[in-house]
Amino acid sequence: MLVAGEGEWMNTSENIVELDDVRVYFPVRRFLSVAGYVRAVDGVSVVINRGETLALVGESGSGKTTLGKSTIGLVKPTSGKVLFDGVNIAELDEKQLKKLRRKAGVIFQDPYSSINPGFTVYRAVEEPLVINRIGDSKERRERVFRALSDVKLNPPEFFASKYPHMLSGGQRQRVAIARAIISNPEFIVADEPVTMLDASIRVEILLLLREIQQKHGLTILYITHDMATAKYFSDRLAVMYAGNIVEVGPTKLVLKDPKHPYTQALIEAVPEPDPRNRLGLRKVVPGEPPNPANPPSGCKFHPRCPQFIKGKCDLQQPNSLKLADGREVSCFLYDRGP
Amino acid sequence: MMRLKPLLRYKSSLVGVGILCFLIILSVYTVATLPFEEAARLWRAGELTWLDNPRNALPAWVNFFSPTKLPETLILNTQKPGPDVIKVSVRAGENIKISRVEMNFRYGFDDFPSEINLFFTSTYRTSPPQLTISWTKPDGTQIPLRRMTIAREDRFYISSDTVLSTELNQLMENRLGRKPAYTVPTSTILFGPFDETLLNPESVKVVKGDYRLSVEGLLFEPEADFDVKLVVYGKVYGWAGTDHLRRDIGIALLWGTPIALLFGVSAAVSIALIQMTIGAVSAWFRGGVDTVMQRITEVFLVLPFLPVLIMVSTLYKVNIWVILLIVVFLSSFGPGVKNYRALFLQLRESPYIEAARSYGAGDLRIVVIHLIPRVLPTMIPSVVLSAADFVFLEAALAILGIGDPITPTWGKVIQDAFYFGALFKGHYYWVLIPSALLAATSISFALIGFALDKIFNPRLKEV
Repeated sequence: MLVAGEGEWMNTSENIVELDDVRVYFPVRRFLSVAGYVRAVDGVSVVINRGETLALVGESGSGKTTLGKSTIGLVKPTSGKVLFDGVNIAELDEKQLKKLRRKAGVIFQDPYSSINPGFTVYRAVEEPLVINRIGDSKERRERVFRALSDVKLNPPEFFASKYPHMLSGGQRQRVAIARAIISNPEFIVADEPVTMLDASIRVEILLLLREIQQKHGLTILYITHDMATAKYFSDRLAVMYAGNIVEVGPTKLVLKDPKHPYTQALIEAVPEPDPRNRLGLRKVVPGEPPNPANPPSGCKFHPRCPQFIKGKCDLQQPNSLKLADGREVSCFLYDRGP
Repeated sequence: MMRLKPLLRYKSSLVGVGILCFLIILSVYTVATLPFEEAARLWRAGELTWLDNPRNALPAWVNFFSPTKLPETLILNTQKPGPDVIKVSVRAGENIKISRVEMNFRYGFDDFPSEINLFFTSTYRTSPPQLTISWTKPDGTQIPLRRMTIAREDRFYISSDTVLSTELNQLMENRLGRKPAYTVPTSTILFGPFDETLLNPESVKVVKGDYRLSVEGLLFEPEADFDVKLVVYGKVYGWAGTDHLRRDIGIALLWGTPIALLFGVSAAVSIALIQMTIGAVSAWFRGGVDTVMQRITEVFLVLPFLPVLIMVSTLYKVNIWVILLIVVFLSSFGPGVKNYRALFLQLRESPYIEAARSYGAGDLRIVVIHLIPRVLPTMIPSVVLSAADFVFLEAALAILGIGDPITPTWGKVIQDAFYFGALFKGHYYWVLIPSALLAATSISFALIGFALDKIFNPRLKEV
């Protein structure tokens, strides 16, 4: 699959990322022995199509970020297959991974700490090119300036010489985006890119991301816990709970008609911007998210589920079911099998 | 390095920078004017090279602070004739020649000279010259000193010659009609008055005025000749005085400056860099690398530093740079490794490190470009501060005898002073000047270090 010498990938599959029963376990060490494992991602199969934006939503600790990292090999899966552009990255060594990562970019949550504070904007944005030995210094300069104007940091010459501490949060996130797109990637993992930003500039940044996506034909994995921005920004939505994806489908469909009880509860929990509803009590899922080191048996949502079927949900793990409208749900409620 | 400019904003660091600049200029001056080989040779040359210097003399500048002027060394030499040194030769027969040397000098100091010596050189084939030496005091009193036949290289230690001393004491006793309660030193008799004051060593005063030393030589060959050098040793010398071997302590102190600075700075910088690199590698790679490095560090931490150094310097002949290497080696796995590792463990979790990994940065690049530069600002002040420690360490090692036997350093001067009982004998300058230099060096480093700390770690400013 690798063309020798050029380091380019020949194979271009339709799905840029394909996860097949991916599990990421972190060992819990207790004095020389492993006491157990934290199951951050526990059997996820999902496909990200070329050119789409997949939103990965879920509460804190549900394994969204770990899943995002595993798509580009920042985290090695314990088991399962991660196919990036048709190549199983779990089998690659560091050198090959490095080549692969050229085709991917990451935007992190915290724009205040995701850029080396000792680097100027120019150096920070240029670094991926330097590391991957792309172009000479003149060419790199052009590309850095082009990326900076792509993210609307104009004039680029002005911003290039700044240090991160001289910039606002929004400007820093633009720098981080410029750094993520500088090596012309096909796939970008945006890990809560607007969570740390002011509400007033979230939309600006998301608009910018969309514009860049259309301009460069990018695929974006948008990790968030914010249903509102997911609705606004994504084509498809994947809902994650305790290391599993419980529901995947086109964003509009999922939001309009959530199938999985957890998705329903999640959408129910979104505050409504109507003051008349302020006194109405909303349905809130009881209980707390499970401990990923010691998850409940069967369906992990069953201790909190309002539609819990005794003797089934607490014993068996539900399989992912394909629904007619292109959705997948992991819930026994829709299992009308044999 | 733009950030170093605010150093001049703090008054304390201004003083530190001033002292350090002075020390650096002194070092440059020393290296430029006195080559190291020459300094080392002079320092180890033994007493013959330094024969014209007084023994255990105070630094010359003590005269500025004292109403009584201590004598400086006077040297008169017939090889350098002048108005004060006259040499006349007269032929007195076919083979006989008479040479007369007169050395006139003015003695205006308030204290007696520490020694008076005469040195002769002569050329002859078989018959050595015969000299008659006499001393004339300002009042015209003439005192015959000695009649002697000189060899080609000869000397007459006037002030310590026991025969002469007995003669002069006898002469004085005859003049005064009384025997003093002590043996009057020759230099007191030669430079003091012949009166009652001589009887008490406390009351005797120098007679200021013009003195003359005459040497009448009888030469038995037409080609024969001789030269005389008179040295009236003072009690002050140079800017740092002299030691028990008449050596100019100033040479050791001058050369001690660049050596101390170089030793301190290079030890501090290299140890900090090595410790930081070990800490960074240990924290970045974790796992086995970390375990091995931390265990090595723990072994080094309990290794007794001084005994190891003493052992090495006993078994091997070490020079100062070998000592530096040993110090660096023993400290490279020091406590700093733990501190830096802790810092790096915190840094390695920063999102920008993960970002760097995400776009393909390798281990080396992350450690060198992303991790280490983040720690440098916190490192610099402590490096500057520890430079002073290593300057002190070198001196302390020298005092313990773990030193370079060849290189003159401040520590060695203090060691000599300590060993030869300088403070017991009252030669305080011998200890005080090198100590003051050591203190000044560490004060300058400390002041600069504190100011750098304020500049690089701005949170300290608010306190």
